[in-house]
Amino acid sequence: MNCKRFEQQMWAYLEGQLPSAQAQAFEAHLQACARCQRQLAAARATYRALHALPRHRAPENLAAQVRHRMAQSSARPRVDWARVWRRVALAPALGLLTVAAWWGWQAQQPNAPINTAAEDPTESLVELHEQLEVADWSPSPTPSYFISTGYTR
Amino acid sequence: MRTAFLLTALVWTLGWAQERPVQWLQRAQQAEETLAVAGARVVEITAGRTVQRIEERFWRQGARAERIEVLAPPERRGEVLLYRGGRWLAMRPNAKEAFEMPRMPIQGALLLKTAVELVQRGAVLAETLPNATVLGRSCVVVRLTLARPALQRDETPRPMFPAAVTLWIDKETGYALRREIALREGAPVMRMELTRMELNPRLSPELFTLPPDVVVRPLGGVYETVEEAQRAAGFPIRTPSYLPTGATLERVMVQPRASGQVVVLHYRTPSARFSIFQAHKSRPAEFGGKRRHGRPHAQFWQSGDYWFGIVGSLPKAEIERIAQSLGAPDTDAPATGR
Repeated sequence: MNCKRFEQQMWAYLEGQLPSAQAQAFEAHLQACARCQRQLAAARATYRALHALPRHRAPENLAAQVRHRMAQSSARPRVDWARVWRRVALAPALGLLTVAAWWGWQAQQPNAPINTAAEDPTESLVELHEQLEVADWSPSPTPSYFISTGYTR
Repeated sequence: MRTAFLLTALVWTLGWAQERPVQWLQRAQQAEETLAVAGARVVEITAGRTVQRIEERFWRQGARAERIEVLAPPERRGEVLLYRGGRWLAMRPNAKEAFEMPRMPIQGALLLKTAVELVQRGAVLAETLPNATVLGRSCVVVRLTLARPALQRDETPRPMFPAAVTLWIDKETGYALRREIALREGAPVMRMELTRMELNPRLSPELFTLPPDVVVRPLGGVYETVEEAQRAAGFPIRTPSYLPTGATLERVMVQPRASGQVVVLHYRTPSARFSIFQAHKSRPAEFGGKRRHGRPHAQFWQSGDYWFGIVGSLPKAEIERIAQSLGAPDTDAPATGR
């Protein structure tokens, strides 16, 4: 498991759709990678927010209405150029907005490089030893507690 | 006469310059042990390429009692750690059980106490750097470095102390507002900084007391002896027949990983720490890492259905000797190490 694969499986994991072997590998990587922990926390918050939105029931005849409108529009193939132009103009604006949002998110992330520890099990154990070593010098016992119980549970 | 006077002045000046950082350390130790403080702090721990960041609020009555509430990582938000009567307890929010953490002293003063002793013995050098401001408070910056060079080059034992420690000590109270610690050569691997501080707050006794209906249990996954950990491991834990002088087993951890249970025997000697890892029925671990500056020595190998590893700040020869006592092949064999 690496960070790229983690990203691909993140939503399936949140939905509870990952097979157990993959979920185990996913969680093992999660335990070792601070970057992916942050990413999962952000995704989880989005997932919860989406689920918290109120649900609206679609009108009974929605499908019929859509079919009717489609039939009407195919009967009148005239192009509404003003509308098309508005949409074309909107596309770059939306693109810019997306890039700005992505840049803003990236800027907030610490410069931690992608973690490869989980790909190399021995590296993750070297890191575990280092964490044990340094935690004893921490003025707070919380790092020791998290090392023992898993950083994200 | 004039020469004698100048020499006396020089010796006095040098003595004064040497004494001042120690006095600040002593003040910081005293503040840590006696001050009532509340606030918030950030702790960052770097291990290899992984950075763990913890944000927490705390309330402490010197070295007698402390309460910590975790703010981040978000998955652990709201968990509470309590210190009272010589033991640390950890509790999830609104849980009906708390977990006792094995053998953990209140840690704030430990570094300072050790630092004072080692500076007085000459094993650690202390110097003051230019003053700085933390939380809008004027601080004395004290830097401590081991008198011996780091272990990687010099294989002789060194005192149990980080290679470099920098402390930002509040001039008014003596409280250490920021700390940076480098275990070996290279960049700091632990950073702690207060982000908020309230002096002499009103601390009600309830802050440091568990709710009455909470049951205390031992913290799972961490044990004081191999025997206690044996059941959780699910396979016979092997212990080394050779240990360096003064080595004691500090804790045993059993950690679930993708490849199965991994047992960690964590030892300390008077000058170093090392961990022995073992697991059953895992793929042999091929260590592909490059030798990097400021990392501990490590050796991994497979033996039958088991694989083992030793990682620590011991001299490489000691690591190899312990490995051989656990049945590792000679280092000429294709076992991996660095």
